[in-house]
Amino acid sequence: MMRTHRAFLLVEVIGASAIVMLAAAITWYALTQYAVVRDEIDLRRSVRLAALAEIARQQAFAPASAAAVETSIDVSVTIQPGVGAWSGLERVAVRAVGRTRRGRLVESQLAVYRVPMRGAE
Amino acid sequence: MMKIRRIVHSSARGIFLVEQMALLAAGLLLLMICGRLFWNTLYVHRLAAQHADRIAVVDHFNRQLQSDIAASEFAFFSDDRLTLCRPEGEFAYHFSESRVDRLVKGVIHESWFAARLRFSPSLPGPRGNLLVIDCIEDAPPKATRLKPRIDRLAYALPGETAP
Repeated sequence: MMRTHRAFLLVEVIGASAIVMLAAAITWYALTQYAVVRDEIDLRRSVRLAALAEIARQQAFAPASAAAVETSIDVSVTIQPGVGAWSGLERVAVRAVGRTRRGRLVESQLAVYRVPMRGAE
Repeated sequence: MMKIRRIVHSSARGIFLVEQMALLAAGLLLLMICGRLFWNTLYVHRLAAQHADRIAVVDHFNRQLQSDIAASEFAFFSDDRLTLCRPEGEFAYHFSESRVDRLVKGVIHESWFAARLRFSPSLPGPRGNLLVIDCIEDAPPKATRLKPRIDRLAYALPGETAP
């Protein structure tokens, strides 16, 4: 006698489950990658803003604590006397470095010339 | 003989029922996972769009204020109000918690605001010529793992206190 009702085979169920799980895994990967990329873009922006804030602080001759940036961003400043056409001015170079959650370094370097503070030397 | 047949028949139906139940459970589980991912994707896209909107607002405000300060001869900040003296007249920025207005001759020319974005201006340091504006982006109410983001903008104000 021919069988009219047949349940799904185990292989069929496993196959369907595998396809759906694969689709879910691809979506999950895309989501996490998106979050990682967005984090890095945000960090680049934060690093750039930190460098700009430090430049403004140097131009205003404000104390180091005045424009403190996020602790995750390291800011270093180098001040040198200007040479040639820039003599009489100070060259302020700022380097801001941040690290992504995956350990990648993100760096921004800026430099400006400023008039030395009166009575500083 | 009849008894045996009935037992066999009942057992086959039972197995079929168990298979259907198992399939239903697995299907529901997968549907739940896919549904959750789908809604998460939509939610993340919405958050990203709002975040991009806030960044655009902050960047535009930053550019405008930078150019206004660069073109000013004198600037001072008091009572949440930044006044910029330029040759063509006086400009002012009025800061409230969630909004910044740019006023020319007392009339609002431009405003910057966005959902969940706050502005917090301050004048740190003894010289009073460094204006720091914290643009604080609050985390959405349901996102417990997100911290508020702070974009710190700093400007050296021109004037008598400058070197």
